[in-house]
Amino acid sequence: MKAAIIDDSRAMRMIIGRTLKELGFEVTEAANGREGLDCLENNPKMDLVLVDWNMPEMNGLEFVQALRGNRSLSHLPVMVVTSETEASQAERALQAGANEYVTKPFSKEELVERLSRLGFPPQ
Amino acid sequence: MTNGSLQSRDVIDIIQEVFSSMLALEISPLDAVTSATAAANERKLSASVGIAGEWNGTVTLQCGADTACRLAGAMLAMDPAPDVDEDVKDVLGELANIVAGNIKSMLPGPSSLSLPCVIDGSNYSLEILHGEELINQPLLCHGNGLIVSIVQAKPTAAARKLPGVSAA
Repeated sequence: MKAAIIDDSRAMRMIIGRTLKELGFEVTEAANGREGLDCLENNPKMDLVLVDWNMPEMNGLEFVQALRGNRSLSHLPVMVVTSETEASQAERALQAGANEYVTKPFSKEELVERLSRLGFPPQ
Repeated sequence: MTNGSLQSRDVIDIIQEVFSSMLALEISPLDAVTSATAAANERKLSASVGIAGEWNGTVTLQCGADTACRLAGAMLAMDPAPDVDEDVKDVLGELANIVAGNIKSMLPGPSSLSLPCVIDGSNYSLEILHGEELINQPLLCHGNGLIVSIVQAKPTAAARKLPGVSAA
């Protein structure tokens, strides 16, 4: 399984990546939405994308909108991982096309539980 | 709570949850700034995140360089860095980001978060001009001190709905 982590914080990419690797994912990282789209176009066999909301160059909402408008990438499941904790922001992300939404702070167990809602890892 | 009336207890609760979940550390409030927090002439880091929209202001976490290194080590599950490096600044900025995001949900909205800004140095004071300090809470985390402060910008004339004044 392959996952892309898109977050401007290297620390968050490390923390999320650690959990994903324990679940058996091969992880690719990007520091903003623009880099994330480039990364996905160069890695066509990705299975999952986790994306932050507030990032320079292209934020998470813009990334999800661009992803869903890209025929070759629109099928990818996307989880937004963000410090934006209001329900209205979660609605915006889901309406834009995100499949799941997890707010910071989160425990490893919470992240694993949200991943299981997307069917990861496969049983 | 969205009436803009933020209390120290609310902020402490948020920080305790952040530190517990992300760093597996306990943190407790102090009644006053002590020697555990950085003195004015010591090297310290300040991480600020702005909030703009229906509510305007900043959330800042400030601590000594050693404390910042320890927090980064805890968050990354590594030995603390011997000196402040990019990972240490990144961690402090991300902590400020997470705290600010959770505080924002308790304030009038909608509002947006800025990207974090991290200052590293000594003999400086961080001042948010034309703002009102709502919270200045010293905290202790396993013997390491830090301070969280929240400053609200004074509302514009349009925000105060003065007669004849509309938003820019």
